[in-house]
Amino acid sequence: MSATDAVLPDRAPGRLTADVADPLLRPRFGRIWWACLILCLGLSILMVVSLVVLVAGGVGIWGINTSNVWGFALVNYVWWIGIGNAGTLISAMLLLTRQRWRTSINRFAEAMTLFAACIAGLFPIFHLGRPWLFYWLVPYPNTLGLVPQWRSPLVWDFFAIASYILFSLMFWYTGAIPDFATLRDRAKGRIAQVAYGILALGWRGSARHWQTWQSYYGAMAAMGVPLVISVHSVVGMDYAAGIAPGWNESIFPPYFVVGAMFSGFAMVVVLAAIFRRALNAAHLITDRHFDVMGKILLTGSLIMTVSYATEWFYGWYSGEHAEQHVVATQLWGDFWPLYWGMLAGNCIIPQLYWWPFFRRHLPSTILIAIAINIGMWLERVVITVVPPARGYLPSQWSSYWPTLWDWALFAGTLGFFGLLFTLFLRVIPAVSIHEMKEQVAEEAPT
Amino acid sequence: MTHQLHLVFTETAPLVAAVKALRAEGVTGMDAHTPWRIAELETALEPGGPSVRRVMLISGLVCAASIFAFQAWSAVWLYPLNAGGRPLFSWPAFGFATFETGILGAAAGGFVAMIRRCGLPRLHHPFFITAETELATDDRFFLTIPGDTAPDRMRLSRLEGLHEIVEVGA
Repeated sequence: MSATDAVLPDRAPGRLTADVADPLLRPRFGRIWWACLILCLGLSILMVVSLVVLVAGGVGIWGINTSNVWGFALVNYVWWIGIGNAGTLISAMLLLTRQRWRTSINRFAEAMTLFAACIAGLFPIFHLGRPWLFYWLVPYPNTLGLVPQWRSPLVWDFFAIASYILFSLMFWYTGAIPDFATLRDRAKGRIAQVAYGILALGWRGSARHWQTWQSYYGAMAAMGVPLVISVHSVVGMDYAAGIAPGWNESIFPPYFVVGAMFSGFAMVVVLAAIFRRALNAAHLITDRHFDVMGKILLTGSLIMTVSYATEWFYGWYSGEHAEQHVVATQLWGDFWPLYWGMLAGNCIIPQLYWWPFFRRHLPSTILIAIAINIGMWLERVVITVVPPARGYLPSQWSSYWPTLWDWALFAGTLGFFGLLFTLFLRVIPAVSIHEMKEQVAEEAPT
Repeated sequence: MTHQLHLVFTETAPLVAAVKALRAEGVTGMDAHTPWRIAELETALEPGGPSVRRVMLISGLVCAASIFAFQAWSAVWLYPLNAGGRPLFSWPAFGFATFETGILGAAAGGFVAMIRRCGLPRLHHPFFITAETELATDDRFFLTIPGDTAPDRMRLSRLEGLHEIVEVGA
């Protein structure tokens, strides 16, 4: 097997520690890192400005209207939470199925989850109009004697997202504790020693520590898979529980879960490529990783294609004029370029992954992954915007155009995600050092 | 502080063999410190203790049952609201918060149990007294033996694969 075919690096454990930990402890991180940081910081400032203007002016600054009451807020929420769902799903599922190539990608996939889920949570909160009252979603003792409306998907969402963010944080942090201890022990500067020392909580890697850690981490992985499926199913229920034609479909929860995994894996491919380039880590994330991820994306693409075909079939088979009208509007109406763009990004372009060349040729695989991310974003636009604008009553029919502030907030959140990820690469081991060493040791000839 | 010996190994197999040999000779109170999990050590050292997973199960079930009961109580008795003629006790709709909160409760309960069982946070453990132990998170394997139960140096130096012995404490 050639070096590019391996999923685990052929290196001594000590060398692996140095490979991952030392770049974090270097005082300088290079110009490209700073350029990314400044760019992302600029966009993050745009996000803050957009939010301030939103709070000052109200949700009327967005392109929403009486039919399209959600608009970009729901589009971006679903897109971000989809990406956010994938990290924990990937990490947990690959751990349970004992996929050896997991160790190279799980840490930053989990970080991606945390950042994306936090950003996703911003959209419904700021869409409330009075975001400072979002705590009304929490059942807390109050003088009005009010409790949340438990039959409302918004309340389900709140419980799902809040639980998911906290769960993902614990899962990610638990996995990283032994690596924080490694950084604590390697750090030369006082600040790094103290910071990593506190994060490591005094981890000593004793037999009892490892036994307990393994017991907890394995159980978390086992719980993570149904949790992720439930979270994105709840997001699907946001739509399916509505009566709008095109939304009121029982296919939504599983269709959304696959879509989330699909877009999340595509984002992992993009981030893995950035990470590989930034840390010069071609031996940690090999061509074989991209090959495997390409196959998963191909599978996801086929399932998405079947899902779209099922929607068309339902539209036709229902015999319901409004359902058929929604499908026709998606395919041929005002938004046809978006719908066909979605089909291109999610169904047609990923078929290139049938060829091993496109799975292993890094620029190609990144471009395809970006096409999938764009396709999945367009999917959310089409799903969110068309059905409410083509309801049962013709008087409801309208169109939707995002305003500058819609775009500014979306661009800002992309920058904020980039900012968090850039900082993450600088301070936290992006690859699970201890798991990689464990696997390399297990593979080593004795 | 107490007198302890750290036997340092560079490979996992001699460490596991040493643990088994010393246990067979009646040495007690041993602990191993390794950069990654070594499953054989768990059977050789038997660190024991209550299972974290039991705590997770109990805390998960308690949280799930509590939020379900709260939803039912608030929807039926505290603030009954007729929403489209649906029954007040709409238990399928209560399932979402119940499941999510149950999982969160299990995760949080397990996290606290794990931290407690590991004796963390503890930033000043005697194991950290020598700089050598910094390698325990890199590529060295430490077997710690209390000074009063340790065999003599001659016996220890005959352990196969032993890299060095570090003595700490008075």
